[in-house]
Amino acid sequence: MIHKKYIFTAILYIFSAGSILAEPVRLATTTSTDNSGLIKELLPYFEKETGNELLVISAGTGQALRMGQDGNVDVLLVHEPEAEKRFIQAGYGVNKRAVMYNDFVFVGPESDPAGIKGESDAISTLKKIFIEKHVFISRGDDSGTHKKELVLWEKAGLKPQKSWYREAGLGMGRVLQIADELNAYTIVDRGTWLAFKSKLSLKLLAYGDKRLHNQYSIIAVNPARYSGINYLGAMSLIAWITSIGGQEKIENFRINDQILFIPVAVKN
Amino acid sequence: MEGILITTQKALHLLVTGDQELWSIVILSFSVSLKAIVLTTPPAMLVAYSLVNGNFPGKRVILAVFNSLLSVPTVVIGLFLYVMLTRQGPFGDLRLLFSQTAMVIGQILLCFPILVALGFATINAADRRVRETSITLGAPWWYTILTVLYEVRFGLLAAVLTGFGRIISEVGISMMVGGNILGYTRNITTAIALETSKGEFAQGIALGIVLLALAFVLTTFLTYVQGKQGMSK
Amino acid sequence: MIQPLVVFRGIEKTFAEAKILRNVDISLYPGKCILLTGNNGSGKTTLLKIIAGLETPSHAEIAFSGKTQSWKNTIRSVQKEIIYLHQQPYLLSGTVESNVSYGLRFTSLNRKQIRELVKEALEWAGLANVAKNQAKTLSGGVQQRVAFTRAWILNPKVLLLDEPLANMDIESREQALDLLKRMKSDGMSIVITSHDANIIDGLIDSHFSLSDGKLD
Repeated sequence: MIHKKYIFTAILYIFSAGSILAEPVRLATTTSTDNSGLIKELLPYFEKETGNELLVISAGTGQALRMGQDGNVDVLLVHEPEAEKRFIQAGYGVNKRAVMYNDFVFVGPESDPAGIKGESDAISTLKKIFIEKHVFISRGDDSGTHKKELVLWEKAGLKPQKSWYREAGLGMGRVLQIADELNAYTIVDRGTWLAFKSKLSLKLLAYGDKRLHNQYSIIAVNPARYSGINYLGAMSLIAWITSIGGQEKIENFRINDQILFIPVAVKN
Repeated sequence: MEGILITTQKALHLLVTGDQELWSIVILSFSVSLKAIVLTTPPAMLVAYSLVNGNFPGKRVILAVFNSLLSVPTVVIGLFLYVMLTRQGPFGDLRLLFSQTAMVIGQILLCFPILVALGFATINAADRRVRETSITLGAPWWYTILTVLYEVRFGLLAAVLTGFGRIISEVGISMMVGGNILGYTRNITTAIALETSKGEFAQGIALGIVLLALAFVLTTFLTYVQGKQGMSK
Repeated sequence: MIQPLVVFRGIEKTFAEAKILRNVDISLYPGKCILLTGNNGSGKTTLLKIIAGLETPSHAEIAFSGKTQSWKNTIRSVQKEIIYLHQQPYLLSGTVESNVSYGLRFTSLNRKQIRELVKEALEWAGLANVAKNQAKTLSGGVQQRVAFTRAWILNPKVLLLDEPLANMDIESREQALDLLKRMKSDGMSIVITSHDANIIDGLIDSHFSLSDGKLD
């Protein structure tokens, strides 16, 4: 008689596939929203109130848009208006809604060698850093923050030099850590800044320019492009996040009583 | 960043108090890697066996191919799989991207050459008499294979442990095709790699401790097994 | 005139351009023991392995059950009746019992029947006292007897033994010879190789020597 232990080996082959109940909603969002802790805060409310499971993948805006274009996610929460416009025009996304905004700020070492403290003009800020040739860390990852930064350099008519300009290719939290280590300047969205402030020795130095406005929008991936896109799930997230309840949660998300994202979807 | 000592204290605290998020990450790592190694081992052993005892052309070439696959970086495997699984790609309709299944597939690709190469070395070093004894006593071909594999089981176990150690500590594949989604595809290595960017150092260190402890246990067990292998000859 | 169980004709084996066996004919009769001698490297082991179906000849024919066919076509059925024992037998991981029962696992016997047969066989071989021992831990002589028993229990028509007594002490040799005599009287056809012709008598019925690939 053949050993029964060989039959057990065969049994090991039986695996229950992951049980799929309702189809989850796949959200691609930027590292800024993720790093600030907002998504982590909102997720359980959304899941409980709508019964949908939310899977969150965080990447730079460029990458997130690419995921939407490729049909690998169902909905996007991003903050780069120009790229979003092109995305929708190309037919990749539908039903865009403005969700919230904050602004970008400049942070740097307390010693502030370039003397940008108190500066409210973004272009002048960059000019001062350029002249001082002080280390500046750029996101370098095609994100909303990165694109904004590049636009500002262009408007200033300056081309930063490799000797002091470092392109990290990383998320916002990571870039802040690097800037902290190297006592460097960087540009960051206010949400992530407030979330990380206490862990860093960097200081908030310059802000206020209208051009530093940072608008977040949510876009559903066009279901006509791929079968199996969870369009209803995506719309459920859009509905929730622009609902009074969802917008309230965004407004109530604070660190040290400071608001990180200002909701704009509900018009009174 | 706050001092390392404080962070490590926090890390140990997370471990000991059974922090749910932390342990769900650890369990996910084991779940994915165990599935991968269990699915890979039997076919890999059969391939290794046929490379030793089979009679077909191109044996040397196939063996050389497997040996060269040993040094493919995990990000390359991850990238290849991403391209295969993306909606636009050939297997996009399976909708496997950003799932545990994708991670398991990637880890299978990673450990298959390892198990074949090490399995081959073990089986090739096996006493020729085992196979001959089994055949002459009338065993069917598949029972002969099992008999040979059983006789060199310690060497095979060492191969499996080596493969497991490799896949549970890889990050390139999990990151690219997993997406680091909390509770879904976030394993030890992606958590360390990507969560530390949010300043979650305590969690990162805690996970690092788990991995180090695992590496220690595996290596100790591996050494023990290899000792047994030497003795059973 | 007793009919041979099986006749091998025209066995040829070439390996790396060298002809190890040339046109060898050998007939195996029931209850008879052949002694095959020859120097080391003369091809004795190769010949036995070919007969056992463990190695493939460059050419050979088999006369079996009244038909003569090529080696390739017939060897499968012939192989079932022939067991080859290595000079130093390989005992599998496990007890003496599990080694002896190995070949019975593929028959239609149930567990109880196998247990009975194994018990009988161990008594026949005088191994009952080491039945539960780990086979690999036993002395060379005892291992050899386990290997004999492992083969005997399957009741083969032909037993091929490669240098069976080479590394044994006198006592084990006596016991082994005794077992072989009993197997012969049970009707088994036995072929023994040895590079030393002297050791065995009372057992041998015919003697062939292998040199330069030819048998005489």
